Amino acid sequence: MSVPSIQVDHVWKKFRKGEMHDSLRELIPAVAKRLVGRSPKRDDLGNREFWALQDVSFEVKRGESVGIIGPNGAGKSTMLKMLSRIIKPNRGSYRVNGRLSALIEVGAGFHQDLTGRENIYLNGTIIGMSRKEIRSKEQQIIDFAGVEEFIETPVKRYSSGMKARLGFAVAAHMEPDILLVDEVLSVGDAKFRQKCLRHMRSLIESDVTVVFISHLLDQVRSLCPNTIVLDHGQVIYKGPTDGAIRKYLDALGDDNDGKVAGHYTDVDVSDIRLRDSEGKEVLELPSRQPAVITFDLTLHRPLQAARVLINISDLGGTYIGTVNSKAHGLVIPETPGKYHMRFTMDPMPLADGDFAFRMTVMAGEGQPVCVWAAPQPRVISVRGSDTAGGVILCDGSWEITESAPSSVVA
Amino acid sequence: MRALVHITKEVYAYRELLLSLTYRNIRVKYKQAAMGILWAFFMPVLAICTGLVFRVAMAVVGGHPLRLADVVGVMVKTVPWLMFASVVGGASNSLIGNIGLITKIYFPREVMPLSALLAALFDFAISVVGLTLILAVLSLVTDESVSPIVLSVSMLWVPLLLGTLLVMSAALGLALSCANLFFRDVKYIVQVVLQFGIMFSLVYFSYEEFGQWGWVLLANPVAPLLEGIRSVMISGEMDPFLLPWIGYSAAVTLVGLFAACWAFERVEYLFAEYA
Repeated sequence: MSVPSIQVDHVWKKFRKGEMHDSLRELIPAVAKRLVGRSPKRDDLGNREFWALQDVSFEVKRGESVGIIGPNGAGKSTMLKMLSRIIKPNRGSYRVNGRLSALIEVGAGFHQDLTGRENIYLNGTIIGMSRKEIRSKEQQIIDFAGVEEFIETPVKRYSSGMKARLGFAVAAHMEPDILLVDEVLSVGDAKFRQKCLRHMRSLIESDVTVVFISHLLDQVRSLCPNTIVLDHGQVIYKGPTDGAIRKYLDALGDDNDGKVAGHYTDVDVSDIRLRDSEGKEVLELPSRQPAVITFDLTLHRPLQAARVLINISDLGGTYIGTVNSKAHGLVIPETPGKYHMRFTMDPMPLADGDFAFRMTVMAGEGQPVCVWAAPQPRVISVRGSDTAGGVILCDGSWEITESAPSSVVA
Repeated sequence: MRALVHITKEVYAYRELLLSLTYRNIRVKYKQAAMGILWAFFMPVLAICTGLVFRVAMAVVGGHPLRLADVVGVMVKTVPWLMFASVVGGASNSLIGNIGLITKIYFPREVMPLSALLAALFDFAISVVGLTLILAVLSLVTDESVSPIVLSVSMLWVPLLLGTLLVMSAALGLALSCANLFFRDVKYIVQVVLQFGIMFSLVYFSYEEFGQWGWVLLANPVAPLLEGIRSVMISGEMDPFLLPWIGYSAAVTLVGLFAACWAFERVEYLFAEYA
């Protein structure tokens, strides 16, 4: 194995909250100091400063594609900006071996008054292509973006989708050794997104190193075998993407923990367990088998019309369905006490994949209010459905009969 | 020195970007303008006419007729001054005007002010063509004895002086472009100074006209260069009095260039964070 494409070694980066300087009077000496390099504590955290990245280390091998996920403000974009040399770390170092291209914001270099074609050249040279290179790819770029008809029209008359497509097309044709992608695959319509994903896959297959940032967990999973999870500027996980996604959802949950969970004094839910049809606790659900969820519900005071809801969504956040105890005809007693509950889903209608289950307890007639919510979703894997894809099982029965054989021949 | 070498190398590596941005700057300026390329003449003509107003007033007060040498002097100094002003003005706004790019994409930042400089040079080239035509017409209509310009070997001074002026404007533009990112009021200061600077750079007057106070205006490092140009164009030889002053301008330019490159390099990595 050759040198890694990216090596990040104990990198720290701090940012400042609020304005940099308040007045010209304090500003000039401060800048003078910075210029002379005698700024007192460049590496330590000063007043109003915070670490956007703390002691981040990782390595990306040549040809590998790695995802970076994490809650908002975790430092993902800071990381990419640093790798693309826009900002420098305060401590630590990093190395990038190879020609790097960053898809940070497509079309950032477009000039509104120039035509599509002129902007291809402008944007192309901005991201580091030579004019010769652009000339040889020009037609490909135009075709990819699907803007042939408007190529001599100033970009200001383009729709936002067209602009985004053109921007992506230029950047995607750069042929870098290393590609950094930050949330740009959400441009254009569904068809164009598919095209982008296909293009990304072909890049990955052609040995390009890819670092991919996205909140669309499905995209990350489909493109990157390994993923890094950042939270509050720290690497909290490095490894296979499925594990990363669980860790990420945990991190999202932790954020709510202190704020939301503490409020629920009326109800407690504990000992939530996932079981198979025999009652054995499992971590992974076999598809087409009944699934059982058991838990203890404690009512600390009388509650009217309490019901348990379980929201199911995929890891990309798409809502799939809700289990509702009231709709199933279950009446939860109003009197305080501890109840053991058991829900059987038979048949369990999910296809292969990971799903987030989030339990809530609602109570009250008319406008029910939330009296308890799980601090974090529980990620459940479903395996063995043997379907072609998708989220739900589409089971059914088939029949085939021969219809009037003689008439076909005639 | 190291900073200058580094900047030169980086700009060379990104020369295609430099050209692309220059093309954009020029194209955008002339694209949706009703006057189109006439814009390149509008400013110099107006500025020269302003100078002629001063010269006429001076002639009336001095009780002598308007001399052709004075008129030509105003012309040959106004055009380089406008180049200086448009380089400094354009370059100092170049980073802030492209902040969207700077915070998102890496490229050597000095490419921005330099492309503003090249775009200003394009305008300058157009003015020079216009000026040459005017001077040619003037020498045709006037008789030999009062020829507007004297062609001589001393004319070789002109590219040298223009080059120094250009480097000076580049240094200033480089420094101001980053100052502009950190302090927003720099923009207005530059604008005002450039607007009135023409009066303090011996564009409309010559140092002799200020008698013993001429040195005060020559202390502005732009002034000796412009005066040098006037001297060789009108008289065919360099005024020896100006030589030390030109040396002074060159020294200021050189020091300024090193300082600007050094400062630019020092703060370059902060652009994306603080802008």
